[in-house]
Amino acid sequence: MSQEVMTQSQLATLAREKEDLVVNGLLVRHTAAVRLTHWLVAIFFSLSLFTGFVIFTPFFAGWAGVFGGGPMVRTLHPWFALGFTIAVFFLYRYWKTKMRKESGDEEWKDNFGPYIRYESELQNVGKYNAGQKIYFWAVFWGAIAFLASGIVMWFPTAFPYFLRTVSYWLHEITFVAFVIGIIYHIYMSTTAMPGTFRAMTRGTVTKDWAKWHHARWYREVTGEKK
Amino acid sequence: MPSNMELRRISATPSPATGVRTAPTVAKLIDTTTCIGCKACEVACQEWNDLFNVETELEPSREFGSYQTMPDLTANFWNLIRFNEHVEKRPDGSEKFHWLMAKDQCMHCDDPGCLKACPAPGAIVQYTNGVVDFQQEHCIGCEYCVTGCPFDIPRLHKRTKKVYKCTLCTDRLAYGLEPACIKACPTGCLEFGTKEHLVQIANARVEQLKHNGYEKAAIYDPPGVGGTGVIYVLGLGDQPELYGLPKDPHVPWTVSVWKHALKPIGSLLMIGALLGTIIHYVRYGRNEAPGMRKADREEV
Repeated sequence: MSQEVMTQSQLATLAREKEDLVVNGLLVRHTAAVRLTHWLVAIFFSLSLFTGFVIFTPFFAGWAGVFGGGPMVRTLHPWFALGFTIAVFFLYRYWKTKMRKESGDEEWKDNFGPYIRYESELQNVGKYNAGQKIYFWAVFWGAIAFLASGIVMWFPTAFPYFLRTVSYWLHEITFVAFVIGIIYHIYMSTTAMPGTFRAMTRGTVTKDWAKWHHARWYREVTGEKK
Repeated sequence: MPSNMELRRISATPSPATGVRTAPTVAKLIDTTTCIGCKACEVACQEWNDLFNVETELEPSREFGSYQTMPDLTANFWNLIRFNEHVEKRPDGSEKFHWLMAKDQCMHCDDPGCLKACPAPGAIVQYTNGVVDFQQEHCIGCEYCVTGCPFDIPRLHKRTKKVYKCTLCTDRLAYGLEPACIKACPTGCLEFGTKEHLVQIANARVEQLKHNGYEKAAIYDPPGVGGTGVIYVLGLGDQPELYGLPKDPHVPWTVSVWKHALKPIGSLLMIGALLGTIIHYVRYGRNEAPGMRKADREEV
């Protein structure tokens, strides 16, 4: 553990390239590349979401004006979504190994009830808990479902009738799942768990946070014993 | 605005349609047995609707070509006489060639699948007289209507990215004129009027045909879509497929479930998820790491 005190800008430079180390009493959780990719996913997802809502329900038809009207929504939505898919692919490249199953995952799943009631104090939680891993893989497979059905919906008459109807259903179900997912993703990373959001802005988290939410990762990074 | 142009249904609009005045449901009657394939109706349609720049195409798949003007409907060709070729096998072993003429165009369903599928508010409307009409200025070009239509009628225009189809000459109907195709028909196989009246005419014609040896003659007014604003008299009424007409068309169940089940259930689940976070927050509050300082909390 480095005792050297760094300036903010030195810290920022370091956190750009390396993660899983301690600097200035903070743990670097995400490199700048990972954060940037995550924000690209978030931006393209939001753009796809808001254009998608216009087509999903007439109650949000008014949002079309923000994007230049209904026809522009129809034109832009597939391109926003394509950006989302590509960004998810890069996130997948960063995280595919880190999101593999680990020893503590089953224990975490068994303690899901206590976890949401804030009653669990599991010690064997790595950098990502089982819930985060499930969310990541759900996003990955969901993005594939979106892409496959979305291409059909982009050029519907180029595909047989059966594929079109399957795609409309698949896109719809995936959409609802994603909206529910994103609501809890944002809730948990901001309001519900203070100190979490900075992992995606500055890239660092405090020791207290890491020890509390990801105990094994904290021990691995700091070298501290239980 | 004439009363027949008020709106009975509007696509993707949760509030009620605006029409309060009543108007009789209008229809076209197509008697396929007296159609001579002159294509006057095609020309009249193109002329009245100012749809020029259409080149006649031959169907590439047909070895010997066809008398049909075009292989299919297009975004600026809304009325196609199909020269369906049918060889009748007679009991004595001989064969007789028939042209089973069909006037392919929008059927103006009473329960329009296109309107049900459409996500763009006001892009598809149904007037009180039953005519289904596309309002291209509200169309977003998603082509959901193409999937919603049991007759495969709407066509996307390459340049404008909007869908087009027969309007039943609403711009003529509004002034008490009959549709252009009806006006041009030289044999009287096309008639326009109230649906009630035309069904009577069609029934009489079917009786006449049966008397003349067409035992299977029948009206085509499929109940699966609530009846249509374009009704046929078919000589071979038990086999509408021979005319290129679906035997028992419905609004596709996949579209109905998508619009009437998946969407409302999905919306409820999404609202439920949002409420869930609020309930969770009220019940359990924040999960804060012990020892966390106020400054740590507020840093972003």
